[in-house]
Order: sequence, then C-alpha cells, then structure tokens
Amino acid sequence: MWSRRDFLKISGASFVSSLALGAHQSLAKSEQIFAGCCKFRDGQYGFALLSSDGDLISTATLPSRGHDVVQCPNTGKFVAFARRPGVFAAIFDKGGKPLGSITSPKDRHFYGHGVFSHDGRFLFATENDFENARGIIGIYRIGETQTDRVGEFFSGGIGPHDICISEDGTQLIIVNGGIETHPDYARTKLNLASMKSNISMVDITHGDLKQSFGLPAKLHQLSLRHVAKSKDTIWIGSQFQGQQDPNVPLVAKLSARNGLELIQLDPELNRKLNGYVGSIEVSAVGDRIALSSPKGNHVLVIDQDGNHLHSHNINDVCALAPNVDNSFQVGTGAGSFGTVSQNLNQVDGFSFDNHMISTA
Amino acid sequence: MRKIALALLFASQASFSYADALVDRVIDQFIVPGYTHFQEQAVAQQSTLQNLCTQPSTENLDAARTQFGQLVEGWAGIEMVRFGPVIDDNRIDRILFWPDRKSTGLKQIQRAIYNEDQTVLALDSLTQKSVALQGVNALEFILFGTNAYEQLATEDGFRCRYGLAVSAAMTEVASQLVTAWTADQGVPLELRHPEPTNDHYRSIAEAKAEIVAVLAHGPGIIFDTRLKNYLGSEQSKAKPKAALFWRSGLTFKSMQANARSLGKLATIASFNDELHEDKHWIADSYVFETKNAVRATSLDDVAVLDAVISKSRSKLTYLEVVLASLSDIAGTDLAAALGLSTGFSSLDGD
Repeated sequence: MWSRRDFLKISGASFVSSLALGAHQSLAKSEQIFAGCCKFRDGQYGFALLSSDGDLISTATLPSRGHDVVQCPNTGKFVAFARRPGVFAAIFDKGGKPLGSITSPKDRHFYGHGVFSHDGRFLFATENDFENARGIIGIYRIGETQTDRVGEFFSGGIGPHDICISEDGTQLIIVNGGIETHPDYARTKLNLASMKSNISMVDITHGDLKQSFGLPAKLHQLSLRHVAKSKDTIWIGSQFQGQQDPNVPLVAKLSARNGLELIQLDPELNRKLNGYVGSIEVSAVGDRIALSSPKGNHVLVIDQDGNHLHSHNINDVCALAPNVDNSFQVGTGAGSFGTVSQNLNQVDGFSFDNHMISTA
Repeated sequence: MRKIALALLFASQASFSYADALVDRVIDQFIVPGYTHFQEQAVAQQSTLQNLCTQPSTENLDAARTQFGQLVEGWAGIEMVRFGPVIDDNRIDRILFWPDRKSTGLKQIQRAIYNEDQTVLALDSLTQKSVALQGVNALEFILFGTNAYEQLATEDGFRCRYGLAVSAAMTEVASQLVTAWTADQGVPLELRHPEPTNDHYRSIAEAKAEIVAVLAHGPGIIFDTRLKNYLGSEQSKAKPKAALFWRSGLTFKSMQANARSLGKLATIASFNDELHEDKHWIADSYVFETKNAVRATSLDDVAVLDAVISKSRSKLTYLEVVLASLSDIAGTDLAAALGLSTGFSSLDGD
C-alpha cells in the first residue's frame, strides 16, 4: 500500500502545485488517496481521486460507465475499465489527468477488471470473446506514448470477471463467473441453466492453464466474481443466480494448502448479503476480510477463519478499499464515503461505482 | 436503452398503509391468474396435440397451431415476473429458452427430431435433458418448422409425440408454478408478510420494490431479448430471423402481450392508492405508455421477416423509445414516489 508521502513523491511538485487550493489542502490532510469510478451529478460517468474524508482531488469524465480501477506499480498510472460490455479502458496519470484510452478489439469487450504484472510492464484485462463464448485475458503494454495489445490467453472458462496475480508473480488467478453474455443481447445472461463458474490459475508468461477449481453441481449457479489477496490466500466473493437461499456460501478462499474452500456464514449473516457480494477486500494487515452487498445494503467483516467480526447496514454500498487503520473505506451509490465503522461523509452529487482502490 | 435498477432500499418515510393490500392484489389478481391461465393453455395444447397425433389432419394441425398462439400469449402475459418459483429449477428457461444465440437450442431440437431421439418422448427423461428441448421454442419448431406439415401427417409419428411430451412438460411446470404461488409458504408468503427473519423479503419496501422492479426491468427485457438484435441499429443491420417466434408469426403478438401485461400489473397494483394526487401522473403515464407499446406492436398485416426492413420499421423504432420511457417512469419516478430509491451500485451481475 502506498503512503501519502510516496504519492507526493511520485506525483512530483508539478502535480501538487497544479491542484486547486481546496484539493491541495485535502491532499495535505489526508492519510490516503482513493481512486474509483463514479457517476456525477450531471449524469456523466467518471473517474475520481479522493481523500479519505471524501474531498475531491481530481475528477475526469469517462465515455460511459466505468467499473474497477487498477494502478501501475511502477508509474502510478491508473487504468479505469469500462463496465461490461464496455470497450474502453481509460488511462490517467498519477494525478488523475487523462492520458488516453485503450479500446478492446472489435470482437472482444472488457469485463471491468484487470491487473498489472508485478514489474508494471504488462496489463492483463478480463475480456469476452463473445462470438465464441470464451473468456480471454487481453495483454497490453502501456508505454509512454502508446499502448499495444501484445497478446491474449484463454481465461480457463466463460465470463472472466476479477483477476489478480499470485504472490510470486508467476500466475494469473482468474475468477470465471461462468455467465455467457453477448453484446447483441446487452447484459442478458444467456446460460443460467447450464452455467459453471471456476477459479483458474494461468501461467503469466505462456498462458498455460495450470489449475482450475470448480464448484459442486448443486452450486452451478453460484458465480465466483471478485477476488482479494492476502499473503497466502485468495478470497473470493460470489453472486448466486438462483433464488435467494441463506445456505448458499457466498464467500470462498483459495490456498495452496487447502485448495478452494467454501465458507458457510451463519444464515442470519448470509441473509444480509442477499445472495450477492459486490466487492471483497482484505485489510492492510491481512487479518480481516470485508464483503459488501449493495443488494443487501450491508458490509460484513470476517476474520481469516470466516468468523464474523462486525457488520454494518449501509444503503447501496459496494466500493471497498483497505485503509490505514486496518479497517475499510466504503463508497455508496448514494454518495456516502468514509470508514465503514464511522459516520460517513456525503460527497454531494456523486454515486460511487462498485469498486475503488487505495492508492496511498 | 437506459438501464434502471432498483435496490431494495427504504429511502424515505412514506405511507405504507396500503402496501399489504397492494402485494395481495398483485398476487391474487395478476400473478396467480397469470400462471393459471398459462397452465390452462398448456393443458389445451396437450389436448390439441393428442388429437393431432391420433388423427392427423389439416384441421387438427390448424387447431394445434392456433392453440400454440394462445399458449405463447399466455406465457407472454406472465413472463415478466422473474422472481419466486419461476427462478427455481430453471423453470423460466424450461418454458422459453431465449435468446438462443447461435441457435444452440434449435440445433438440439432439430437433432432430436432427425435422430428420433426416444428420450425426448417421455416426460421423466425429457425434463432431465437440455432446457432448450422442453419449451415453447421446441414446440414452435415442431409445429411450424421445416418438414412440420409432412411429418405431422403421420399417425402417432415421432414429431407429434415429441410435441405432446413438450406440452406435457410445460403443463407440469405451469402446475408447479400455480401450486407454489397458491401455497402458504415460501416466496408468496414472505412477499405478503415480510419479516426481518425472512429469507427473501424482510420489509414491505423490499416486497414492493420487487413488484416495481417487474415494471422497471420488463421493458428492458423486451428490448434486449426480443427487439434489439432483430431491429438492428439501422435497417441494413436488421436481423429478421433473430426474431423470437418468426416461424409461427407470433413475434409481435408475444411482445404485445408482454406490454399489455405490464399495463395490467400497474393497473392492478393501483399505486395511486398510496400516492399523493400530484404524483398520480406517474402510474397513469406508465399505463398510458404500455398502450402506446401495444399500438406499436400492432403489426398484424406485416410479415415478421419483412417488418424490420420495410416502412413498418418505424413502428418498432418507436417501440424502442416507448420501452425506454417505461423503464424510466417505473425505475426512477415511480420508485422515488413510493420511497424506493434507485440503486446505482446494485445493478445485477457485476
């Protein structure tokens, strides 16, 4: 996780001096900077950098609705992905200034997520080869002046959504949600009766499918969708496509030692998620996991064994990021923003999208 | 088309004195009668196919085909309800597998007929097979597809017996839906009596939001799955054979029944009972717009395959506008008036 000092160092004096006075003060006061996609008061979609109090540091518009944001570990550049079935990924410098965008090939669209290689040289994006109903990982090299799509891998399934990289940097870990969609039918789910989700490990250099973990047949409508990484464990948040059932496990963890383990929360807690985990994050120290459900209007925080620590009733909450006090920053569709366990600030005219990241 | 989603939020203090009555009305006067009507049509379809299989004739084929129109309209009248028992056991896909991108389902149906696959003839084995083999799409091809006339002229022929099995499968699903919706348990009970400990509906706001969601999402479903690909972004990009039910010519009748059902639901819900007079325009506008949608789908004199590439296209492009308006009215104005806020972050599936 970056510190505010790192952010200032990397951003350089020119960025700081170009900030409006209010933004400058916000940056000076804030321990952390958060980045995420959003909707503005005027109905336009955008990308924003904010302080932990929700003070705006920079904003920029996007062509249409965004989804997740990733940050290059080397250059600090941000990439904001279009929400599926969007075709753009907008690039911003570390201060939030637009630099350009990537457009997916005409027979592909983005799924809203991506990840940088550890060395920052490559960006891996989840994509849909929609004519062939095949999940793809598009590989991009983002240079100073241009971006090249340098290849692609099979994701190991249908409907790849979130993605991360193994701790040693050698494998892409991809959650294939299992749901087939095609732009001809907008966001309609085409295969709910036969869908199958999995989490796949793919060699980052050659694209070989190393391992894949599926679900029991009775849970074939459970869509694994989002991941968060602690040191040796991948946490997975899922969305159930069948009728709400508090006994369906919406959280799972993957480790080398135990493989894929489904975590059955107490049904009373599971009800609060309403069959839908919209975002999952691991705390800064790595000992807590937060799950948000905009359909259940709750954030649940659990420990590494799946024990419930605390829960919070927050309307239309989804965006999560670890913050410096080992808690979680949240953003909502209604514009609330702040630390999950405290009173939230209101960012007027804002709707925070499903995901955000902590940049400092 | 603009997407509207409803989060199950209780955003403001509104009067809910009529809320239970609203839910009861919707269940008793719209949902249960809707599924019951569909069940009756499925039973009638079984009967016409039984006649056709035992006594093949042009008259009996015409009767089976005419009844198919009733069956399609019966389903279209209730299919916008996409919650509750219809979600269980893939029932919604077993009744209608659509969109059938790349004709995957159609190819299975054609293969079953060509190979005279005996496993599609018995209800038990048919219901274990692909959902695409079990519903109205299968029945449409059986009755209207290539070689239908010739193959259905054979007494007790395979194609007819397959049609009979499909109609029996649909009757079974329809009966399950009627039974589930008339039972004093599960989704219907929770919808009528929301409690914090329920699995599905924990507040009356959630129950009402589910109903408003049908009005908000239904128009989008019609556009995304029935109109968008068929119409194309311009005339040169139209795909006439991407229309649902083009073989039977029921494309517009089906969409019309969809639109009519949305108007009927809004009327039965009678939202104005719990809205201040200055908000009555909202539900009234919704019902008015469904009538426009019904008019836009009045294309009886135009062949389905011609409509999108002829002057009738303008009616369908107008339908697109009307459907967007309906989504907006229900998802934004009606939801807000009822104290249900639209949920930006809760759009499905991301």
